[in-house]
Amino acid sequence: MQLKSILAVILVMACVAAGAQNISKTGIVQMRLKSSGPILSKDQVKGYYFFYNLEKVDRKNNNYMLSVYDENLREINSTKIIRSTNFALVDGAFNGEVFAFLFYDIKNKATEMITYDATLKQVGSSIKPVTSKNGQMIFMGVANGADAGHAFLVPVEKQGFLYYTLQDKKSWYDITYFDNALNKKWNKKAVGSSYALEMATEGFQTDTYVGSLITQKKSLSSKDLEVDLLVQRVDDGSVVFQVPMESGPYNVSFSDVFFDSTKQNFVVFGDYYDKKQKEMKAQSLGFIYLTLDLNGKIVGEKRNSWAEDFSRVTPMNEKGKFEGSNTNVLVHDIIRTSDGQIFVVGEQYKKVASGAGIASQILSVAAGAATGYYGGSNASSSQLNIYSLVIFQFNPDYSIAKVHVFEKDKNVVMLPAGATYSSSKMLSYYAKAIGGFDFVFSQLSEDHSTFSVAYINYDREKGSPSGNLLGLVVYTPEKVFSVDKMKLNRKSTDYFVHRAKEGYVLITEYFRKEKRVDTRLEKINF
Amino acid sequence: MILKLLRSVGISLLLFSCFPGWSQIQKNYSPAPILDTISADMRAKLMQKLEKDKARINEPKAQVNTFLKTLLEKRYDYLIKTVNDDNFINDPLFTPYLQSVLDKIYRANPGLQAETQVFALRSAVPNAMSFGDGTLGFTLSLIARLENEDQLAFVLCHEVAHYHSEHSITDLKELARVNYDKELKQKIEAARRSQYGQYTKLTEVFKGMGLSLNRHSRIHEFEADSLGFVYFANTDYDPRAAIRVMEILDSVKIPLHQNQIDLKKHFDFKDYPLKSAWLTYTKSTTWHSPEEEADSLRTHPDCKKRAVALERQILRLPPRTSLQTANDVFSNVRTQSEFEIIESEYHFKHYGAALFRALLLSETYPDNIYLQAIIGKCLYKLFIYQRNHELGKVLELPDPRFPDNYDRFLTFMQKLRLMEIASIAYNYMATRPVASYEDEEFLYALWLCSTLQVSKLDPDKVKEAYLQKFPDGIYRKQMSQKTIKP
Repeated sequence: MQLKSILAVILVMACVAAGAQNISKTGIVQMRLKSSGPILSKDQVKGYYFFYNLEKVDRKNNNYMLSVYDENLREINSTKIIRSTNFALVDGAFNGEVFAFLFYDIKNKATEMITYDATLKQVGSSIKPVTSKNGQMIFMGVANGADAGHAFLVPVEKQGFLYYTLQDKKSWYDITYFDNALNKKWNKKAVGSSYALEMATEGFQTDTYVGSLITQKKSLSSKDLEVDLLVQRVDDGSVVFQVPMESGPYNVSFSDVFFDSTKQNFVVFGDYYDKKQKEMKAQSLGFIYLTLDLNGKIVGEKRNSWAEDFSRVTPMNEKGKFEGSNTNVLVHDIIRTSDGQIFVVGEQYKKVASGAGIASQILSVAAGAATGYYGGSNASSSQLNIYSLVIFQFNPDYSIAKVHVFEKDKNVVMLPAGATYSSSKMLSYYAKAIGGFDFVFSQLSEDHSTFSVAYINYDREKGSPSGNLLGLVVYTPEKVFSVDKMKLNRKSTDYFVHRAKEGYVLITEYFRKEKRVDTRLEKINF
Repeated sequence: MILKLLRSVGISLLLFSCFPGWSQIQKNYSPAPILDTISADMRAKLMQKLEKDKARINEPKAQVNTFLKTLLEKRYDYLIKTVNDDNFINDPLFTPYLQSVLDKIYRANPGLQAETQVFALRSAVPNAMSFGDGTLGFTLSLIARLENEDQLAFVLCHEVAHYHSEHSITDLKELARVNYDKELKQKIEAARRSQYGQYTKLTEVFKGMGLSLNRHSRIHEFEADSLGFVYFANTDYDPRAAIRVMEILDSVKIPLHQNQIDLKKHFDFKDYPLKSAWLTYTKSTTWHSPEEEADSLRTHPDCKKRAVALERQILRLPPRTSLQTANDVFSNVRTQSEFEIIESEYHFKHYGAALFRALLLSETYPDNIYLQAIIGKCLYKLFIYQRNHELGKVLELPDPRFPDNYDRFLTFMQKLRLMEIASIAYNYMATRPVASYEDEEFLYALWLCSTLQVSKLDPDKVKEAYLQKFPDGIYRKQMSQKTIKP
């Protein structure tokens, strides 16, 4: 019957069915990790973006749809964008007045930034070729789903956006401040650097100052990292100071920094290690807090060593490993609550020999002996086991108060060939970049009194996608931790868990066969 | 005429005796039974009508005939499903009242064959409809919005006009025309085969198709207004009620009750005081794209235009003294429809909406035990759904476009943590007046809330009290299961 054919055509048309707390879109040809995500403003989720390919308009271009939803998943507006067939969204932000989106044109190797007003009417556009090989690799990776680990676009309340990228042809940082219409206000670049790589990522941002962490490497293959803190004025970009992250005989790694407006100083936090050792191989000695004045001078320091301070509250050895399990901790986030307490969120991991990798290599050697052709195996004889979630709780005076361990199933990250010779720390960064850890995000409440940490309890070794569990560790207003667990009983091809407004998580599921994407908000129980 | 009037008054008196009085509704309400399966009698009548309609199909092309007959069968199946999905009310209260008004219309228009029947529909959307097979539906929400029987009668006249003008079959024929439209088929095929811009081309084709169907629908609405008014003018009802109906329909987006719910009055308990933080509310300033307001995209024409057309018809009427019907019966039906909407929302698991409406209505009927019981039951259900991470299925998230009182209510509910909902549910039920404990629905709701972890009541003792009072009670089965604290 012809009706059926008409109905069948209607079914493949993109349509939206909006429910109470969920949306369903059909006709989605392709879904990338970055096709949807939260829009942040002042570190709070103010909405979501969805970017997907509707159709081909000609041989070289596609018709894309960009939809923006509010924090309750209600559509604000949608707009169509015609661009090349390899166009991907890599970041989105909202500054209270204007939305900004960063796209990467994989084929033409260029980024495009577009700003829209609150009604999704275009306000500005800026295209920039990416000529640096490292820059191309970064954008390509993020477009294909890798975690950049930092934001490219940083909103400046109602004024504009900071854009962090790399310079043309060089792997040196390039920070540009744009107004809402994407007119360049100021720019800060690494000039005449003696480093082969010098990258900047957002450290903090206030009404007056913008702080960036500058990571430097002498050569691209070097395992030695140096980190500087660069502080500039937001209004004109003038440099307040740039100082190395070191104190006496120690270097500071994985730093987090915030501005204490009451005391008018900057507080830097990270783990510290012996300056003489190479950062990627060095063993962390503990956590350190540095207080810097407005000139960048260190005016205060507090160290918590594994050997003494942490071992008092939990059994740990001098290398920062939990006694008994002998596991390391990779730090995912650092959270400061309104009462001055600091929480460091990490996950335990351990590099171990891989049974499957070794077997694969033996088979490869055996096959080589039999055939005379030694092709080798791609599997590493090492793997990274991921264990429990750990939260270190510090007092307002930066002394360690408690270590909270939240048990979850072991998760295995298979490593590439050659990984055996890399340090555990290096491998943990690799695993983090490919999304191997279970940690998904942490979310601080608007009044900074509570926070939640989300992780997915998924045994990749068993490979049972239907049995995933979303775990949510909540620091409650009563100042205790509670754990909520949501079973992700799903039949979808893939799914993504995103930050949501306070007290909720956003779950997006992609059904490849039906070309459908379902998105819903789930309330966290605590 | 006198005979007519007497007959109408007689029916009204008979109906009036079926409704609980004002003082009774202050204390309690007994909801209409849920009609979960269509009666054999109704099914037989519908089948008879289906066969009759199918026999009348006589299009030049055989394939169009077959297609139309299939559509009629689908219409029949849809109605059966709608009834079986509990949407129809067939009870001793609403059904005879609505039918009595319909009968009045037919008596005033003897040229029409009285072959329609009308039912109240369990829906919170203000609407009335003709299913095309003689079945007319009047939603509870529309009844609740009307002000008198005259207005209700005009809406019925409009639906009767749709039926007797055979608009449903005309719509199906238009659908058949579209389905076998060669030009349209070619356009769709061309769009489907197209290598580029498939989505845009198909969207355009279907938009054009929709515009054509909507235009037909709007023409039918004007026709039903015009013809319906002719029927209406033959009755004793006030002709100007038709204009007022248009004004009411034009304002359906404005909530019937705009007053705020005093949440502190309902949920502040000695043992569990209300937290002021729960009441904080800031209306979102987020801009949202407005809905398509273009007239061409609507199935119904603008109410203002319809009112102008009706006004012209009124001016052509000879001068007359209108006979305003006594409104007591209607007033009772309208009040009951508000209670019945709550019952329907609860039945369809819209627990958030049911709770909101129950709280609003309890501002008017603070001692009504039915409302107390449904508030307790809704809170219990919201707890269960939140615990299971399914709250989104039964409670909406705030939206600045919602009525202010509903948006505030949702903001409040969404702020509550799991055990806070449980505590409010338990404390609310435990602090109701002793008189409420005599009611079956209330005792069941109390038993549900007594099973919550925070409860200080022993659920087995509540169960015992229930079984003692209601040995044949309808909740015996649910309560016989072992009590497990959720």
